[in-house]
Amino acid sequence: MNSILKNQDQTFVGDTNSKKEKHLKLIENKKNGESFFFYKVNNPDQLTKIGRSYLEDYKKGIKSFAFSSMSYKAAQQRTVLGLASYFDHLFDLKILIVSDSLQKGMFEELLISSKMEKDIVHHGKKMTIKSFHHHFDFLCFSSLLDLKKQTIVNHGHLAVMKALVDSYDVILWDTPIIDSSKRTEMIYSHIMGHLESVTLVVSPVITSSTDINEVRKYFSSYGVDIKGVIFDSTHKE
Amino acid sequence: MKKISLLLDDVTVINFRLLGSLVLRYKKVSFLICLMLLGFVPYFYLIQPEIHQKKVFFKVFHHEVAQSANNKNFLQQITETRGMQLKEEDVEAIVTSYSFVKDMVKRLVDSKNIKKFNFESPVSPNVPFEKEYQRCKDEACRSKLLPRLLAPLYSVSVEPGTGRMILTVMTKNSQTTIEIIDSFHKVLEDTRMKHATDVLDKEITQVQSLASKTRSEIELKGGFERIAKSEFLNATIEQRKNEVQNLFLRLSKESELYNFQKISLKESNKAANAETQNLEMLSFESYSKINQKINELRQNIASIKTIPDVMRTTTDNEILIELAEELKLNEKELKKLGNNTKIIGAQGTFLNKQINGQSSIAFDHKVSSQQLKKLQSDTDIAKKELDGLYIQKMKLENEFLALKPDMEYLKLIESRLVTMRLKKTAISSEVNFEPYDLGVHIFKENSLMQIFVFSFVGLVFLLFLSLVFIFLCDDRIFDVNEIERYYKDLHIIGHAPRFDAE
Repeated sequence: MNSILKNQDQTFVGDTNSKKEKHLKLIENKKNGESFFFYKVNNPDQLTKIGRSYLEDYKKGIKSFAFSSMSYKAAQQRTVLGLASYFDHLFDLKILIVSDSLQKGMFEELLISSKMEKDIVHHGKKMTIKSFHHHFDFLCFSSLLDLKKQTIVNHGHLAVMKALVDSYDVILWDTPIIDSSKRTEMIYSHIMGHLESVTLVVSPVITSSTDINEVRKYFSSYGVDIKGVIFDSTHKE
Repeated sequence: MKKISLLLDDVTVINFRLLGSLVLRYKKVSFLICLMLLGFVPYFYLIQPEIHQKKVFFKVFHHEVAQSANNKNFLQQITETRGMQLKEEDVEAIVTSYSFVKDMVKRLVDSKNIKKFNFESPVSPNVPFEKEYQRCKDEACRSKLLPRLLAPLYSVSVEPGTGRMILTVMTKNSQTTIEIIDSFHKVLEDTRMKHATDVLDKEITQVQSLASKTRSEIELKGGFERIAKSEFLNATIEQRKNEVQNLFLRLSKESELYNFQKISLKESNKAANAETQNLEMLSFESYSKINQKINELRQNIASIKTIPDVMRTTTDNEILIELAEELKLNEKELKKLGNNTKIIGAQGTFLNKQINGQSSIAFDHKVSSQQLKKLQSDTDIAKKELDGLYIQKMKLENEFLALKPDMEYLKLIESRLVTMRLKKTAISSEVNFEPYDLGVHIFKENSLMQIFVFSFVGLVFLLFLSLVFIFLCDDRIFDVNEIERYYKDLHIIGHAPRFDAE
């Protein structure tokens, strides 16, 4: 799907290169303060390790990273938040976290303290984004679904999505569990086109081989590359 | 397949490290199985019935055991001669035979304590039969079911090295154990005695038939007639021999008498012809007269003295005095004649005697001579008869030679028959039981430690199977290594970050 999009809009590829240059420049001239959450991480070595991996991808021009797990959302949220704080800690980047469960888990606390809201209006359609102290923004997945419902013509929706993606340096997708995605597959299929890589977050005891296979199969069917696996060692039986 | 390959190891075959981690991973299952072990050990120990066991040793007489033929008992001799030695294998076969068990049952059923016995096997129970037996109310029912229950309760084996046989009885009740041993002992002895008696009876019958057959053959050949004749002849010879011996004895005595009489006659004739001097003869005559008178006087004096003094008359006393004086005078005269007169007197007496007996000696001599002649003639006749009898005997013996083998054979058979009849009276069992007391060893089939070990091994195996089964069925991810192994195309980026607040 991603490759199809790239073929349809050649400027997107050209834009990516220019963005890459811009991003690198940003890294060198960081003005934002250091991320508070970065220091709250217990295993900074692991965060640095996975952060570097994503940074490499980012340097290659990939900016839309999806994270998926079959059931245990906490590890997925921690990974998204950790990576967001990693990028935020090192660079002045505009980071967007898209999640279907902002009112739960790790994000709940951050969302409460995120007082700033801004609206993105495109083709008369509006999406509300909450900013966490200018470090990173939160967008609820349901907003995107609502947008899709409001948009009758596909083109309008795609333009809104493109504008959204273009307005951020890094987008971290905390994807919903596969079962709910399948239920609203028609809507999700348009979002899938904006995912550049997907990472499986595996929780021991909870995640099964069947889950992994299912997730891989699901994302592969949309042509989304599987970047790899992040293992959550905090959860034990 | 991937999981199975994980369970295997190149060096140790089974990946024990993984198994160890599986124990920790499936703690609940492992704990449950350990709990089962703790429960099974006392359970299995307590449900075991108590075994009341007793071993009794007995020995079977062997050919090699006896040192000499004289020391062997009769049965040994029989079995040796007939090649029927009782071996340990035979004993094993006998005691497991249905008839043997049935005999034992008969004894047991006759026991007063039959209702107290427990015939349930502590080792290999036959539950349907045991229940059926318990429902039995009469002797017939017990007799029918007991053989099946009794057979597994005892066993017979050979003790290695010593050659002794061991009877091992195992029941759930000491009284039953002892009773089974007693009945086994008695039935085995009786069985062997009966067997030996039967064998002997059979053999005796055979030998008897052989003897009668041989006897009839000999009879046809006139053997017994000849024997009777020979015996009669022998008796006659013996009689004749005695007669001849007596005749010889008498002949010898008569001959001695004859010779004596012959010499006596000769000497008597000589003495009668001899002359004696007259003077000497006269002195001798006076001596004889005085001597005779003295004797008469002494007799008279003695007869008067027999009358008591009080009763004696004066005349008696006067006569006594006169007689005493006369006796003195005669004694004086006799003294004057001296000793020569005595000798001459004696000679005279002898000569007179010879002259008087000469005629009787001659008569006796004549009689002896005739007697001797008669004896001689009788002896000759008896000798001739005896010789004739000997000739007859020799002829009979020559005829007998042809029958001798048959006769010898018959003799042997008959002597054997006698021996066998004697054996039958002194028959005994060749099985000798060592003395045993009433003590019974009580124990359980498996000790607590054995059950613990068995249960432990079993449960370890169960644990192994359970863990492997759960591991194979469980597709959950437990370890980052598992992802590496299962999904080689998936890159492990790292571990999810953890936050202080969590």
